[in-house]
Amino acid sequence: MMEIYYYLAIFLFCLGLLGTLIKKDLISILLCVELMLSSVNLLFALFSKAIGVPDGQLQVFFVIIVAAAEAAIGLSLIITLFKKVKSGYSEDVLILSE
Amino acid sequence: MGLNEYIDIFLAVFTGFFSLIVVFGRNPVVCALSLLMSFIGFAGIFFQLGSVFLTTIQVLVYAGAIAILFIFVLMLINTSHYKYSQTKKSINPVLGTIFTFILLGGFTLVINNNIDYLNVDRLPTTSMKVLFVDLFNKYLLPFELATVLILVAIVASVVISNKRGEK
Amino acid sequence: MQGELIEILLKTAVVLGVPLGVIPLIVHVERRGAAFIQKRVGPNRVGLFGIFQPLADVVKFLFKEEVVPAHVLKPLYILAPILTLVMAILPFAGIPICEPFMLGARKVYPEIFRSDLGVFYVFATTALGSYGILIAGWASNNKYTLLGSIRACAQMISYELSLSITLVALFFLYGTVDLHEIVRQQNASFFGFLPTWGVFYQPVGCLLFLVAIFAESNRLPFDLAEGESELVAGYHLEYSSMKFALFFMAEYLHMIVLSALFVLLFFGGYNLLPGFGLIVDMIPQSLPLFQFLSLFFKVALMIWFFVWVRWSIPRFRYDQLMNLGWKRLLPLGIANLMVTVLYVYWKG
Repeated sequence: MMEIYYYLAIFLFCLGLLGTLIKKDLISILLCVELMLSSVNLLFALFSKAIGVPDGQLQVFFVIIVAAAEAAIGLSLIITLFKKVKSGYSEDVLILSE
Repeated sequence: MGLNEYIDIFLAVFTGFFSLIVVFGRNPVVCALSLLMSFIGFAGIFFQLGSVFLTTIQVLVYAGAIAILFIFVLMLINTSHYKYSQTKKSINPVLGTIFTFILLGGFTLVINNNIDYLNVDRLPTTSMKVLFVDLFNKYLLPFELATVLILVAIVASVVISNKRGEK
Repeated sequence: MQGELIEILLKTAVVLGVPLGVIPLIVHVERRGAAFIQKRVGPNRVGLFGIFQPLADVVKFLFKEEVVPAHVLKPLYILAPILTLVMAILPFAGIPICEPFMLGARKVYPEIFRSDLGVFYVFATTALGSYGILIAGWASNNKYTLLGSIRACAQMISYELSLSITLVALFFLYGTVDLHEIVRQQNASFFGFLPTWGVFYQPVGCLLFLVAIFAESNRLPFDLAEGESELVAGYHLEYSSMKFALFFMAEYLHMIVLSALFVLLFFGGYNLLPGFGLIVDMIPQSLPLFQFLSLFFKVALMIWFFVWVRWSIPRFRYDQLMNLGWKRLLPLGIANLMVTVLYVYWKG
């Protein structure tokens, strides 16, 4: 019955990918990236359990660390961008294409 | 079907439901809170898989720090006062959806073909000692690099959003 | 399966029921203690020494009119106090009240959630405590509550760092994460009379932890989130009667679980107080009960200390608070960690 977790993980990955492409707020895009990273964590843990080695769970540990660092920097970038552009939406950040 | 199977299905539906809200919700604060709920769902799934360590790390780091950070920044950047800027209709959402469905189909095919080798039920809980023996012997370099990464992230996030820098 | 379920229910009833039931008593102690420190009398009308005053308060909370302002976001507004209370109750599952003992043929672990994580679980769930405050402030749709909740949340996550650095130093010192093992290691004694409590091994860490738990439970001198003189009432401004009572209960539960953790890590936990050893020698089966009583007594002293400090020290300003958390306590914690690691390495 645990096979449902495999399907859940790939479903969530594709959902996160869809969200990254569709969403308009900058922060929502970051949220969907976190969703993708979480689903990859789940896949790592599942494969680690299926094969029987604990290495997959350690990989989850590292992915979580990287996700934390990336979220921190991404959010500080968004705050700085917000101060400059005064809007939290991705369409208003067209500075490079002027 | 035993209790474990019911819990599996419940956790999967729980996480999936809240992830759908994250992707298709309008208000960013509702999306962030649903992401928090789906993190808690993930923690429950890790617990079902027998890894108590991952459950705690998920709750501690993801739900207890990253999600709080997101909600915090959302409250500081109050986007509800600003309207959407005028944009032309773009092809991006349609292309994105098509591509995502193709990807989903591909992944499902791969999992379906190999599902016999991916049986998860037969293994017991890993104790933390067994888990950490590898962390400090085989994966020592990634561990140290991860600490450097976190240090860099701390310094960078302070420097980037420093008010005195911009003039 | 049946036996396990009954065991968990009984453990929940004790480990959770005692704190929830003791909250009215703590409220009463706080009010009488505040009066004592401020040289006045405090509530003494309702019953002997005003002991039924909390009961009167509960009745008031139940019968007061629930005013839900029109400008709030209803679902989040109703969710916030529930979430705060749930997050405040979660850490109790990892707090043990006595040693693991044998009941008939089975070994009973006196904590609701037994895993090889111990303190880690308690710390992880304490970290979730900031959510209720955040959502409450946001849902009230009010500039002052938003400001108060952002300040409270920033304070909580900043002082979590000092808390965790001190915990890491403790893990190095004790060599284990399991609370039972930590308390067992505090059972020996120096020179025959001084117990080997954590506070003697880690005085700086103990001080850091103490300051951090004051900040984590939003108690004076760190309570500017609900600073009565500054922000009207902070994040629970728009909440009335039962919802406010839930926030109130959650704050006291935070206080209780953090003091229990503090006592378990630094002050010998449930090791027996001097007089109890004689009674336990006579009746060996009552060891768990007397260990629970010792823990209860120490936690009660700690809570009195919370009340004492609340009415003795003025409140910190927000920038002073952030300064203290990041620029003073965190480097001190890291220095403490380095010294502890060197000590452990030198010891062997």
